[in-house]
Amino acid sequence: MDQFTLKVPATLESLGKVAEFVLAAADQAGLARQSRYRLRLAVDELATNIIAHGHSAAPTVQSAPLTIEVQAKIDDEALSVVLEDSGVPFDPRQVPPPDDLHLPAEQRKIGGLGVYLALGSVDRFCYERVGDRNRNVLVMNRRPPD
Amino acid sequence: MAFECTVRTGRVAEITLSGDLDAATAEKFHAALEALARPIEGAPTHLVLHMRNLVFLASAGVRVLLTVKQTHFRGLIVYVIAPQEQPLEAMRKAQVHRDFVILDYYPPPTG
Repeated sequence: MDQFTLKVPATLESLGKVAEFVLAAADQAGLARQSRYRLRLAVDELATNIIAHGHSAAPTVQSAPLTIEVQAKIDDEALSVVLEDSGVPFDPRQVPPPDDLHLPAEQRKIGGLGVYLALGSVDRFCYERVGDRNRNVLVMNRRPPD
Repeated sequence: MAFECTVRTGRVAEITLSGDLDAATAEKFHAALEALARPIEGAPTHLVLHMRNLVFLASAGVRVLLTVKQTHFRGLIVYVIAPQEQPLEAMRKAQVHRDFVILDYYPPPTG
């Protein structure tokens, strides 16, 4: 199994580095174009969520800046991307899907789309809280080329 | 890929988007819309969003598209021109594609 790791500050400026990392892993795994894009979208959305909401509600002076650790693991079957952070506990699976998708844009709420797009873009997703860390695992199957 | 957003004012206001539109860049798009919504001359009658070179669209960009219809250009026709397959897929999943007129070219060929 091939495994790669990236650690970045939990800031919007890091999204580009995270994307480069995920796309390089997708290329290494030989993902098809659509799967490559969808995985990048899912990771971008969850990383954005960590950046926006992961910080403790009451950070102390001693608090270390929040970071995001990204791991890519490639085996015969799949590419798995693991996002870990030490922010407040957050299980994306608990976020209800938007209930107003059927409405015209003028009547819709802003928000709630990121997690919905992320979880709907990967073949498998799981979350666990390990100690003081959130662990999001996004899996894309490696399919033979068309 | 770096995000670029260029604006052309007029009765038909146009914004050309290229690169990656995500949470890190959505504010730039939002600012362009704000500028267009407060023109020195008359208010635009249409908005045209050129997306041929937009390669990535995250929910932050979709949210700005929603605000286009909710605030800046409420009630106006907004054209989306030549979106690539994957950004269009994101628009479809978020069910915002129905709120825009999606064309390959603008102005559309006549005859």
